[in-house]
Amino acid sequence: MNPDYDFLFKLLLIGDSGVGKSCLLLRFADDLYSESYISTIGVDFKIRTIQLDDKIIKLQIWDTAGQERFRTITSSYYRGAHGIIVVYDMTDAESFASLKNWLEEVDRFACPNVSKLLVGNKFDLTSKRAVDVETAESFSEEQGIPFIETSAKNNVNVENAFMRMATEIKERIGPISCAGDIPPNIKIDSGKCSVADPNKSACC
Amino acid sequence: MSCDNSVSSNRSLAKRMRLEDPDQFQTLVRMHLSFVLHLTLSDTEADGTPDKPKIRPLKWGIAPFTKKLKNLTKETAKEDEPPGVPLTRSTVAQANKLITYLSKEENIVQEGVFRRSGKLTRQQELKAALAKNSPVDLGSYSVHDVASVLKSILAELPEPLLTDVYYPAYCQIADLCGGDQSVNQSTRVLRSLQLLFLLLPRENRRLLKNLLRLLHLTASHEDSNRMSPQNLATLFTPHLLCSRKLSPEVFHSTAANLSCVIVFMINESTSTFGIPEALATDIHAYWEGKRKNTFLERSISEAKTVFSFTDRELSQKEDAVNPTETALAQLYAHIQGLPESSHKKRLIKQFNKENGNGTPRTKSLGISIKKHIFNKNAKAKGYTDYLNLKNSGMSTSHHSLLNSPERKIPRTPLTAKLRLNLGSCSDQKKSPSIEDDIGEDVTTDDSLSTTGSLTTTPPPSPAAPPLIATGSNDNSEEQETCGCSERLKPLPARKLDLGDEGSILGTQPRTHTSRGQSQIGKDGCLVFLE
Repeated sequence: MNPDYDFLFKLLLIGDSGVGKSCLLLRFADDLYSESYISTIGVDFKIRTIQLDDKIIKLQIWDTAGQERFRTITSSYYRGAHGIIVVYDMTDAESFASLKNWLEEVDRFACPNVSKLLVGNKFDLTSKRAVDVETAESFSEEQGIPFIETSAKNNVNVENAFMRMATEIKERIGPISCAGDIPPNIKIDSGKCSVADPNKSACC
Repeated sequence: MSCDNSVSSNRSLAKRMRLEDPDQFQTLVRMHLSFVLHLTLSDTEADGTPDKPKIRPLKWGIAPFTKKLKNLTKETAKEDEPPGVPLTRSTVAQANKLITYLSKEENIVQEGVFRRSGKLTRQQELKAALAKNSPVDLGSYSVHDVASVLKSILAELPEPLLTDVYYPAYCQIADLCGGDQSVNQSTRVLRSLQLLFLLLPRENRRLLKNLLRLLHLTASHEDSNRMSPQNLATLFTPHLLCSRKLSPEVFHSTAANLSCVIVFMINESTSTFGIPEALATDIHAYWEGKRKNTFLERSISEAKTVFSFTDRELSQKEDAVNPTETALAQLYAHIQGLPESSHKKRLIKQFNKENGNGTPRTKSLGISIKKHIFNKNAKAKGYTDYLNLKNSGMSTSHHSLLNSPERKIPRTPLTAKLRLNLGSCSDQKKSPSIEDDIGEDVTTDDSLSTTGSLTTTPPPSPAAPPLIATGSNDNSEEQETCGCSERLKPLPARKLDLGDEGSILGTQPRTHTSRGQSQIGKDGCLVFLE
């Protein structure tokens, strides 16, 4: 087997419905923005390959439905994720308040050492801002999770957010495979993740 | 004006029938539904779209005129009382409170109504207050909280609001919606939804009506709230249609596939609660019949020629205890009575199809008897050889079939009364027809009579001369298979003209006052001529 990438990272986007998860993904994967207001059914995914340092990293990003009723579907995707991006809408204080619930979900379903990132989306709507940067930052420190503000519409920080996530995951699990010059070996298969090195498992 | 009147009278008549004679009503509606969805099935097959997933047959059977129907009724009754907390009057009242609040102009225009999550803690608070039936000031909650609570009321029902029983029917409708969007197609979708909604338990129907009205209103404010019917359907399909038992994978695909049905419901929220014309006609007939109280007799006399495998006593006994089948007989008679139209033709065709060809056991019986006759028929020797070649071992298998418990099926009066499955009568030129005018000269087809396989037996009453023809080999078997024949006396001469491949398997007119002619169509179904 000779894959055209060095790493395959699986990322998951979660958060209240309507905060812009699908828009973030669309911007990052296809560099597009859509004004359409369509809810996601269950889960959807897109792939983008990036280069980080001298490594080619394939990002498989799962976009989940924020709707409560789809939780049965989405929750099964936590387990295999290397990184989870929790999104809120900075013009909607309630979506920020929900972060606590979402992080609880992560604790329940994801691997214990999964990488996390807080994203406050809709930076373009500054006039409607309902969540201060300070509030968000203090929450981020409290939880020990990095935080970034983005705008999928104006393409602000979207690239940064995903790159930051990828870097973090690479730092966490990358050195293992690089150290021994082991060929690319992080594989994802349905619902569970595995790292080639049996002595050091990145996930559960 | 008069149109409005008739619509409202249709509604009130339907409502009354639903209340006073729920079983009959359900049977009637289900039958109409089987027409619409059956059409769908054959159309899709005819279109030759093999790549499409096969449409699931309706759980409640394709032959609604057999005993299956009764079993189904029981099943339905059972499933109407699920183990969880079913939809109660108070749940509907709670939901209606929320619906009324959300319907207000200032609330419905909020962006992302039903999509936004709101605040979970507030929602729990509101739910608890509603459950306690304590006075709630909805104004103190955000629109999104109220909308989310409404959704969660639907989500927490033990079965989806549109019920599990009819889930397969909605799957069929989804295939229709997904296909071409012709007017014809949407009429069909509308009609099936109208019928399905009539079959809903009362509380479900009430809540659904209010909810769809609200969703329609929501979609009409799409400019401000950005919620299109598609978007709303995505959110509501899981609550309204998806069984609670689906695995996540199946749930995912189902929710996506079925949302088009909900889109249709939202767009047509008012008309989906109407009464289809054909059903309205039947309901009128039902009440008309009740009023005159002579409807049953009259309607049966209108069935020009009816064939039966049983004797009168038996069938009357059965009739007396079997209102469902009586009703179906009534219905059939009523369809006969409709003015000539393509609609009527279609109905009759469906009726025949549903009632005859679709049931394998009857078919196999008809075929076995037909073959029996041919085996004995010297004139048809060539064909017999062909049959023997084709179905070697057939003669043993049909013997066993005749003696098997399945033989009892034809005794079910309705099956026999309404189903004339004669196998295929291939010689259409000779249009095998039965002239039913009493007292006319009769010649029995030589080819049949010489074999001795066609036995004419007398009627129990001289006024109604029946014709019994069986495909059995000998008398003892005939008596066994045609339980009543021994009691019957020789038959007065009647004309029986069969095509050379036609065969009649026990016939007994229900009445002698027939006014029309009947004809055995090519496919072995009874076709009535005016």
